[in-house]
Amino acid sequence: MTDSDKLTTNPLSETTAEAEAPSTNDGLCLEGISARRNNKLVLTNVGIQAPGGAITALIGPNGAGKSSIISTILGLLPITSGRLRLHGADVLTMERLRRAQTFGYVPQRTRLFAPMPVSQVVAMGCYAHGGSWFGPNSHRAAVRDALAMVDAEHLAQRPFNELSAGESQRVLVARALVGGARTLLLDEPTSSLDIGHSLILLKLLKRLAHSGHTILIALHHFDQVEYVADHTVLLHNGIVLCEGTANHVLSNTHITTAFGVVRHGSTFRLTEETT
Amino acid sequence: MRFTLTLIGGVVALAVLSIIALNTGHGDLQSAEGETFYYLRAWRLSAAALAGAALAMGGVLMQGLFRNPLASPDVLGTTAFAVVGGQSALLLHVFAGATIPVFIPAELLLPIGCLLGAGFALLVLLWLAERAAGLTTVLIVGFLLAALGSSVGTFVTSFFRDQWELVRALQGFSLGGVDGTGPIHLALGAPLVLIGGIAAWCWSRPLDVLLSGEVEAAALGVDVTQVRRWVLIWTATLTAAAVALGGSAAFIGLIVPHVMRSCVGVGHRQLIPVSAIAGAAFLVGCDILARVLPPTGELPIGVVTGMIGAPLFIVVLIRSRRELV
Repeated sequence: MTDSDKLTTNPLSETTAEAEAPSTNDGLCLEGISARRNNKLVLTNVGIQAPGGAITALIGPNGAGKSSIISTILGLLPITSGRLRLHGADVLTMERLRRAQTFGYVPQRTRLFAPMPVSQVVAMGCYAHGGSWFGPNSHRAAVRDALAMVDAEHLAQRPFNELSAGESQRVLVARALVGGARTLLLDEPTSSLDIGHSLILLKLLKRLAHSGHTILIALHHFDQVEYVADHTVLLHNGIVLCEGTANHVLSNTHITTAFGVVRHGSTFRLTEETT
Repeated sequence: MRFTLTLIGGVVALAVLSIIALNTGHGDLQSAEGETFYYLRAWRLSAAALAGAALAMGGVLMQGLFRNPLASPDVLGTTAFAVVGGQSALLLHVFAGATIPVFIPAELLLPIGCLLGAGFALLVLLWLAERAAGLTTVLIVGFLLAALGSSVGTFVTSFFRDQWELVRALQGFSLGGVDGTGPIHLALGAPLVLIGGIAAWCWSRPLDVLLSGEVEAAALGVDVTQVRRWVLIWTATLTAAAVALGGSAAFIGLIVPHVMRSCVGVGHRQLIPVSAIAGAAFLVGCDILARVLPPTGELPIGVVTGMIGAPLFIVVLIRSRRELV
């Protein structure tokens, strides 16, 4: 059975692992984080505990604050209050390069303005480690290993812009891994992928979590959350509405509040249509 | 390998064109003044090579910073204001030559005016770059500065409509030309080009990471604000030096990085040195044509670069459409 077969037959049937109650020293911990963008409060007193070695999914409607949370962790959006710790260590006091070495970031999609081979794109992930990345250098082995981790060694010399959406997302995961980051932040990486490529990517993330990586991923599709998440956080208007297992978080009560929809089996309807 | 071959090819082309440039022109090298002709040609050849290298490197920096193959050093407005600065210095010399301190040689007035003009535009840009949310705003203000500089230049020229020799000199300067350059110009321009070029090369790594966008580059550890600030400073330095040496020569900063990218790829560590060599060769070649094409006198070098550069750019653009965003 292929990966895409598995998702099309019944992706929701896989049981998601119940995350054990994490200690505050294990994983990524956001405490009372508030942040503003263009003078507008985008996060209000957000508290999230993303367990180490597990996948935490952020879900919520557009503008709920999923990307803002990832931006604050990366240091791209300054916070106005709160604390941010990774395995007990204070993230906010981390120097820029140290933070880039600690967190691997995967965007929604990347478009380079000129053709660049995949190996050079992956090597960008070594920037925070200094040294050279072109020509004979010490990062070549790391690039090869990172591409192997995402089953993309064969793409190394292909121009990045000519890859399919699924291939390019795998390459971006390799770029996030190449510097040795054990914590990955993914901002809606499946938004431009079809169902088959989404499953391939999510399976890869599960594998990485099993090997000890801590993963925080923003997602839009409920079935993907149920498939991949060990721990789920539902956001709405910059606040945490609830968190826990996917089944608990994606109950009708919660999704009606956040999205204004009601679930009927495998379909959804707007709340106003059901009244 | 491709880098080495391109570099060797560029150096050979530059050497061949330099030999042609030294031996081409209206003067007779065998005459009693032959040695003087030789020296004059050597100075203008060096000025053309330095100005070409500076404009090409400036183009690489701008295309890398703005992630746009259509960007060129002109978009910052520093070139236009360097020209205005040069024209102002020319007028100052004509109308108030006696009041200029004696320690400033007359030959240096023009290049110093260029540097001051470019410096003014740079200050405006830097002030804005620190405050603007995105590069688009910097780009728009750069365009506006360029338009403003060009209008100011025309406005100033219009005051002296009756003095046709002065108008001709002002317009001639704005079209570019390396004739009349001497050791004193090179002593001012060469260090700027050298420092600007080496500094630009030192920013290669963050510029490469910036190819994937400012947000991703910041997430990968690049200090985007610093890169933006310093790339603007070095581009302005290079363009000011180029205008001071050879006036404003169009298209070099646009076409040379574009062609070189197809030879050595997008890595700035390779792209900057090969573009410098190719830009130098291109402008030396254009200077030869500027001297030999008209039966008498010379063409402004900006006219030649425009006549060659524009059609060449269209050809390159059609061949590499997929590079465009």
